[in-house]
Amino acid sequence: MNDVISTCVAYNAERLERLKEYKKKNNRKIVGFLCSQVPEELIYAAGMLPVRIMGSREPLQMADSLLQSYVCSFSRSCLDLMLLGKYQFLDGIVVPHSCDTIRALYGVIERNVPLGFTHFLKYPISLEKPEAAVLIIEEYKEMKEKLEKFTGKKITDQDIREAIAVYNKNRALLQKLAAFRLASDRRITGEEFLEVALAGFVMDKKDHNILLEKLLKDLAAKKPLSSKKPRLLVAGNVLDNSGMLKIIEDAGADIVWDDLCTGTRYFGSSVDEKKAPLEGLLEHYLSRTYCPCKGKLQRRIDYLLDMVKASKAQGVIMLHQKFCDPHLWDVKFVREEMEKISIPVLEIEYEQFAGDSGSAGGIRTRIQSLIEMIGGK
Amino acid sequence: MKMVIGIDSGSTTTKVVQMSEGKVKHYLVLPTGPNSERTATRMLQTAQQECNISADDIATIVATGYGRANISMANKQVTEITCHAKGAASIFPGAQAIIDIGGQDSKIIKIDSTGRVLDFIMNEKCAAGTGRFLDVMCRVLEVGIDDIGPLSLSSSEPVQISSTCTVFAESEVISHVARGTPVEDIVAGICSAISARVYGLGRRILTGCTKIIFTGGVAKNQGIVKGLEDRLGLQLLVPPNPQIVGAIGAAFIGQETLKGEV
Repeated sequence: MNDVISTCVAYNAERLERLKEYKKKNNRKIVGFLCSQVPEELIYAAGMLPVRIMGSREPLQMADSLLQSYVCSFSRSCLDLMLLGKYQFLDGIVVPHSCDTIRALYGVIERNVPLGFTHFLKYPISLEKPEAAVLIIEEYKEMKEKLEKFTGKKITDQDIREAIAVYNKNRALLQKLAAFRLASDRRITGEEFLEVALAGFVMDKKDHNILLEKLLKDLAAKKPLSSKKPRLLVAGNVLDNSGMLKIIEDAGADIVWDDLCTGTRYFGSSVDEKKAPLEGLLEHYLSRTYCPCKGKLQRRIDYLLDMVKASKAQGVIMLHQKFCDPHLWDVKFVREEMEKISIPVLEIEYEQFAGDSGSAGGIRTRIQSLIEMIGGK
Repeated sequence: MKMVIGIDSGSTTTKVVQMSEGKVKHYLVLPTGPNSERTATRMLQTAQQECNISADDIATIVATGYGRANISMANKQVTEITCHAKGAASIFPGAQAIIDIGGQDSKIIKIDSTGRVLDFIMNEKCAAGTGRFLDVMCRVLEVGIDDIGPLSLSSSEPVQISSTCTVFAESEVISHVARGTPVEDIVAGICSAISARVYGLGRRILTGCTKIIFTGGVAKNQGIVKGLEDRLGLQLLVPPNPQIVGAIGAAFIGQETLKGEV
C-alpha cells in the first residue's frame, strides 16, 4: 500500500487521539460539525479547526437511553462517543438542519454534552426557491458573528478568502484523486479513496493538501491497476468507515464512482473566488446540494445518470443506514430511472457496528449476486 | 462416468447433488449443524459410496449457500441467487421468477429464459418470513414441521398474527395458546403471516410474472403454498424436491464451466 494511503488509514483508526494531540500541540480551538452542509470555511477563517463528527463501529454504551429506536446507527454512534467524553477536545459544534434526526440530535447534544459553543444552522426546507438564498446569507452572517463573539476576533473578508482558497485546493485535489478510480485509468480502489477522503475531515486541510499532492504524484508515477472487474457506482449517505466498500470490492467489483456524503457530494464543486466571500460560499453550497435531505430529487437522479454514463458503471449499489428516511424515499425513483438504461440497482441497508456480522453474510451474498448478474460468474 | 457435484451449504440444511450429463443421479439433504465444512465433506463421502464412485470420477465441485465460502474442496463458489436461478430454469424451462424460502432467508429472483438473473430481492436480517420462524412456532405449539401444512389447511378461522418479528410473533402465538384457540387456526395464521411477508417483499419483482417457481424447504408446506397462491392469484410450480434446486443449479454451473474450459 502507498505510504500516504497507509498514513491516512492509521490516522483514521485513531482520529480522536490524534485530534487531541493536535490541539495540545497547536493550541488551536477545534469545532465539530455534522453533515457536509456546514460552511467550514467560516470556522477555518475564525482561526479554529473544523472537524467532521463521525461515529465508530464500537457497540453502544450510552446513547440508546436518549434516542428513539428509529434513529440511524451513525447518529447513535456519534452521540455515544460524545456522551462517553471521546469528543471532549471539542470547543464547540455547528449542526445544520439536514435530516430530522440530525436536527433533533443537535438538541440532545446541546442538553447533554458540555460545550463552549453550539450553533444550529437553520437551512430552509426548499433550497430551490430564490428566497432561500436570502435566508441562508442571513444564517451565514449570524454564524460568523457568533464565531467572532466566541473567539473574540473579527473575521475579515480576507480571512474567509484565504480559507476558501485552502478548501478549493482541497476539493480540486480530491476531484483529481476521485478520477483515479475510473477503469480507464484506475490507480486507487474505492476503499482506499474513502480512507484518504475521510482523513481530510479530521485534519487541517493544509496538511491534507500536502498528503493529496504527494499521493497524486506517487500514483501518477505508478502503473495503473488492472480493471477487469464489474464496475459499480456506490450511492448513499455518510460513510465514516470504509468497511462496506471493502466488502463490495473484496466480493470482486471495482467501485469506480460514488455519490456519498463523505465522497463526491462533499468536494464535487468549488467556491467562485471572484465573488464576495459569503456569496461565493452560498452559491457553492446551493449548487453542490444533491443530498436527498435538501436537493430536488430530479437533480440527484440526473447527476446519478450522468455519473453512471461517465464512469461506465455497470451497476449501482445504494448503501443506506437503516432508518435513513431521506435516502430510503429516493430508492424507488432511482431504481426506475436506472432500469430504463438497464443498470441494476441493489439496495443495502446496514448498521455500522462491527459486531453486526449476522447481516454481513447476507450483505455479501447480495453483493456477490449482483456481481455475478453483471459480469457472469 | 464423470460426476459434477453441487453443494448447497444452507443455514439449516446442506444439500449435495451429483449430476452427470445434466441429469441428477443422486442427492442428499441433511442438517448443516455447527460445522458446515465437515458436514459437507461427510455427505460427499456418503454420496460417493452410495453411487460407488471415487474421487477421480468427480469432474468439478461448485459450492453455494450461506456456508459456501467454508467449503474448501469446492472448485468454485457461486451465490445461491445465481444457483437457484439456474436450477429452477433447468427444471421448469420458461420460468420467469423464483420464490425461495429457506431456513434463514427468503429471496425472490426474476430470471430470463436462460436462467440468468435479471433482478432479485432478499429479506433483511429479520427471520419472520423464513423457515426458522416455522421452526420456532413448531416448538411452541408442539407440532411437527411436516404437519403444519395439512393442519393449517383444516382451519376454518385462521388467527391474525400481526407482528413481523419472530420474537414478538412468538409471544402472540403463546397468547393465542393461552386463550385456547385451536392449534389449526394458529398454524393457519402463521402460514398466512409468512406468505404475506414474502409476498410483500417480492411484489415489486413478481408483478407481471405468470410462471413462478417456489423452492426451498418451506415450499414443502402446503399452507404457505396456498397462502402465496391466494395472494398472487396464480398456481405456483413446486418441484418434487424443492430443497435441492440451489444444489442442482450449482451442479449445472459446474457443468457449464467444464464445457467453457474444453
